[in-house]
Amino acid sequence: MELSTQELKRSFADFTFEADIHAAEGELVCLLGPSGCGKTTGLQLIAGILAPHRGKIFLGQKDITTLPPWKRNIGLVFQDYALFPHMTVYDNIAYGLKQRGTPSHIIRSRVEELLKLVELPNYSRRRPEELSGGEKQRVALARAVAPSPALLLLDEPLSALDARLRTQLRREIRNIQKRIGLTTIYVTHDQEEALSLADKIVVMRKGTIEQSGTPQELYNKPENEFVARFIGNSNLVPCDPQECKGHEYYFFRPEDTRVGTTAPHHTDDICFHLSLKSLEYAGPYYILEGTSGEKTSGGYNVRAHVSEQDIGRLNIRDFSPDYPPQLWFRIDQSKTKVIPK
Amino acid sequence: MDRYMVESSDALMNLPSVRRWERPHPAFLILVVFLLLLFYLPIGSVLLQGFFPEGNFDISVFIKTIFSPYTLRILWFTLFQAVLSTLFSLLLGLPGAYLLSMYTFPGRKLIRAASGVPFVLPPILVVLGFVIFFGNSGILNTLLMQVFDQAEPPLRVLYSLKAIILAHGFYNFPIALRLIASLWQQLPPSQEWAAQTLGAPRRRLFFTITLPQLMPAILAASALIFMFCFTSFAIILVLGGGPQFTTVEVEIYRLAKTSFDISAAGALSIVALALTLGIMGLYVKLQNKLAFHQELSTGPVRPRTYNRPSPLGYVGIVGYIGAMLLIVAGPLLAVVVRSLQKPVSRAGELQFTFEWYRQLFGSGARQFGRIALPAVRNSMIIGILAAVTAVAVGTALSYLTVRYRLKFGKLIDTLSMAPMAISSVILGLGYFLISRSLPELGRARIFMIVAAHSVIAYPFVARTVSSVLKKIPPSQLQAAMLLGAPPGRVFRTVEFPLMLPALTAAGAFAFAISMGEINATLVFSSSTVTIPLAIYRMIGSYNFFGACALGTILVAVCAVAFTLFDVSGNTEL
Repeated sequence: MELSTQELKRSFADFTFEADIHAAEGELVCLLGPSGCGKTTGLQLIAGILAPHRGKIFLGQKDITTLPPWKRNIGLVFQDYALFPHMTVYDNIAYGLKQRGTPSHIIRSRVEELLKLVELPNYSRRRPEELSGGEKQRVALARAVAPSPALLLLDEPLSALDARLRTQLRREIRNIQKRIGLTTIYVTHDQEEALSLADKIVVMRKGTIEQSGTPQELYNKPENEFVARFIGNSNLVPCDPQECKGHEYYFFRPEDTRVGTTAPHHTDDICFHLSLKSLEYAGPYYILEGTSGEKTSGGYNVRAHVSEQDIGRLNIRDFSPDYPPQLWFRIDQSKTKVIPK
Repeated sequence: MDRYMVESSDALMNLPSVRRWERPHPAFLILVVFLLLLFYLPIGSVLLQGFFPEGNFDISVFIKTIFSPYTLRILWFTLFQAVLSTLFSLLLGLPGAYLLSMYTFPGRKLIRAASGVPFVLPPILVVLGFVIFFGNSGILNTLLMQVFDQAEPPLRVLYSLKAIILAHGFYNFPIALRLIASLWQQLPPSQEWAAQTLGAPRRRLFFTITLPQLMPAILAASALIFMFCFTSFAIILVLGGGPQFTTVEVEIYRLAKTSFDISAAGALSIVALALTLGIMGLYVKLQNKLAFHQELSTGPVRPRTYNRPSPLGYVGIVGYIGAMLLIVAGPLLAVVVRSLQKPVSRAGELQFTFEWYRQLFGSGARQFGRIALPAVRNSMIIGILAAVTAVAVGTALSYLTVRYRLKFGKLIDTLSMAPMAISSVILGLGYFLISRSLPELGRARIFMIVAAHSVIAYPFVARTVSSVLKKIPPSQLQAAMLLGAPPGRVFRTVEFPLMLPALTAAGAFAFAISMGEINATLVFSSSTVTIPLAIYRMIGSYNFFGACALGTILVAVCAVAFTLFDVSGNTEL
């Protein structure tokens, strides 16, 4: 069901949450930000674990602002899974259905169905302590969606798992979410996770929204320095005061940056003549970093992703840091954006 | 069986520890001699008395004793009062556990601190406090009579089942409060939130999520409290007030010291031992389960946040603190206040005085002046010697079991911790039996008391020290060795300084245990008077003012010891 909030606000001693979140029917919205940015607070406000000091929360057409959590019909998956240790997997998943007075034969078939969905058939009699981290998270997911909630909330559900499992599980979560068509709010601090999962990303910082939009919008057209730095790798070069209005940056991505040894002629590209600072192998490409001087004296760095052949062509594999080669870094003007500091 | 074993379980501290593969130094064999001679020999001689009444094997005395209607009645009453006391203690402790786990409020620390007082209070002071506070002419009754203008004391609880249950409740509810609260505070709030978002309202949340998860703590606390009440001695001896309210432990004492029926006492001891070991086994099982549950956090757990209480919550908090003050502080304050008063008229008017203290230590001809001074002297000597012995034995033992990989390590652990599970009345009886076969003990008697007290106290020392030893990361010791320190110097320069606060704490505790010990001392030797024994005698001869003065001194000594214990940073209790 569609979720929207209206002038939502909650203050704490050292921090104020003031942001509105909107998720269309069936959409997966990621709340993204560093720890302490208020994304979990947002989730708890929506779930009813925290009460807002101001504003309203709507689920569909219904105002749920003052409903207690047990009447909201919202599923929540926790970072620490929060499985009930004194119950079997079956009883955990059945818990929400039992609260709604569902007949036991329906509960049974629903739990079976969900265990199949999260690829844990025959796990119903196990206890939480017998499960691995990934299995626990699947059970937690099954438990949250079992009562067919109108909205699913996930609070950093994968952050306690290792990297490989994380990418696998996030694909599964996305598949399940799409198949059920469940409106979902997903909280994470991992920008890669957000880019790969979300229909829409909301970047938060210090309790307010910095920017929201599709992953492509956020990646290609960040509106400010924070978003530009937080999502993906980025180059931010202070504008020449003669060309810009003052406190602004050129923003561009390392993968859009090309490197050459000679000065380009007759071009609309933006060019920087820099001395090579470091060369790093990253697998599919090399990361080449050039510098205009010390950062403390107004210098800046530019990074470029360069292919194996180009490195050979540049002939810089064994460069000496004491006599760094001078290189030209160029970016197509259409791939740059001027953003405020 | 001693009450000082209530600690967070060792299983919680399953940190890897350094196990040296070399053999332990032969000096550790002294521990074996200590245990055999001072613990297993006396206990063994009690058991032998049960089966070999006249030196020959004869099971008939044993059978006759334990199946006599009289014994069965005592057994039944022992169980009955223990069950009632346990329920009452839970009833007192649960609300406190709830408040401590839910709310932040002024007085939180006070509840925690006050709940620690009964842990460390010698039983004789509990008895004395109860007589002075709840007695027919006690402070509470006097107050009620004045307020409601009545001629008769409205509360008549002393020398009855009520007094026993009340005193046991007061003495043991902190165990329930602390064990339950410490588990409750560790239940991750996310589970409650999960249950709420899944549709469970508050009440159902409590019964389906919270209560089932608290059960291990509730059961462990119950087993422990039941155990304490089952083996309770001084409280029953005085507050029970007669054969009508006799329990197994008191009956063992009576048989041995009044009826001189040693073989019957031995037989009854065997029954008591079997029962307490059974309950102890159950407790250990529950405790392991509890530790397991506490470890069961399934991921990075968010710390619990405490809410500010609602107005109704405040009423509950104020009520609970009030009740705690009444039953915890009331009796103690009563002892101190009474020690500074004396009756000036037949009507019972009281006046401030130091007279009782003067009589205790003065050279006057008053009767109890003659036992108070030796009592204080004896207690100090015994306390210091017992503390030193207990710290030495306990530390060595804990070092041996933690730092070396021993064959039969688990068995050694169990055998060396056995004094925790054995009632000190039976230990005292064992010492009594041994002393009968030794001619002319004279002043050496006092050293046997020291031995008994250090046997009672060293398991506590060992547990405290072990928990610290296990917390020292092996990498620190390895670093010291790689930097060139041989094992002896590693101990001296790294381990010992880290253990020192725990040793001070354990020493203070052992001293306080010895100062308050009455069970073993009374059963073993009524001729060597210690402070608790002197108080017991004074209560027996209705010299309540003198008892209060001596009691106040005991309170002060224990308070100093426990402040030292607390300052040394031990929060294990």
